[in-house]
Amino acid sequence: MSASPIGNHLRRLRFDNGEMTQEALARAVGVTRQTVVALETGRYAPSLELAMRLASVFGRGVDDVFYWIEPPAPSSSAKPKQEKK
Amino acid sequence: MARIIGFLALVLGLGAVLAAAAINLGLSTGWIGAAALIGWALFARRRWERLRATSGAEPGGPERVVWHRFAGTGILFGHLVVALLNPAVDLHVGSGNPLAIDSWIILIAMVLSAAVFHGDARERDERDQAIAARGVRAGYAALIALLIILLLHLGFAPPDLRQALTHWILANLLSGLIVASVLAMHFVQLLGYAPDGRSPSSERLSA
Repeated sequence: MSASPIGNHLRRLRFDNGEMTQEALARAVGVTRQTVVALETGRYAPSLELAMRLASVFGRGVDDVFYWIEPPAPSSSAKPKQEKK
Repeated sequence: MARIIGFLALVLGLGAVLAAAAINLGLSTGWIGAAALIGWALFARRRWERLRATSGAEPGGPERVVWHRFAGTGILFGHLVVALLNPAVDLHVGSGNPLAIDSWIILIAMVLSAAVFHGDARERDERDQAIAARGVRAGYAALIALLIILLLHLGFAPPDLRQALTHWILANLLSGLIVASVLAMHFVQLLGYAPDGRSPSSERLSA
């Protein structure tokens, strides 16, 4: 599995929340501990549902937990069309 | 990847040796294959528990199940290939040789070892499902590719080569293709899990 372009603060947040273990976090969101390890080491980008569940464990928003390591270049179709004069 | 290929070579070799022994000596060797599978399962379980206690790099339940199935399918495939290389040997149950029963014994041992000896929860989460899906796609591609090769052989091979392909041998060949595609599926799934064993899994913040 290639490295994910999305980083996260999960490890920091775990320790800021009473040194929560990976096992406890995994149980709280319904995944295996190995998936928490893969998330923390940047080898796996979670689904939106899992990202929201992880964020809610720490009482944060998804943006507070996950961030772009390298934001994708905006595609030409995503740019707003300019009105012709 | 080298670890997975090495393990594959080992189980294929074991299956091949068991089939060769059964053909040449007329002995039922399926029990040896089953015992090897269960013995390996117990050994692997202890090793994984040790890893859990020391580095935390043990495989999760779904990955353990894949390892068990990979081991069993590998032995089965090695066994089947050697049996098919001896077209004179009848693989029917009750045909005077133990090969068919041996295959069933190995298959039962594989199911048993994956169900009983994995030693962890088997529920897949979304990452396991993604890895499983990638394996299924690879298995499907392998099956189609192998079927195309067989179809080309059936359609265009010289008649004297095709004559050897009786209905019975064709049926066994198709069984072999299915086992090969399942093996490819498990191989790709283990490749998906492979980086887990190399990454730091420490609970420490500095890790």
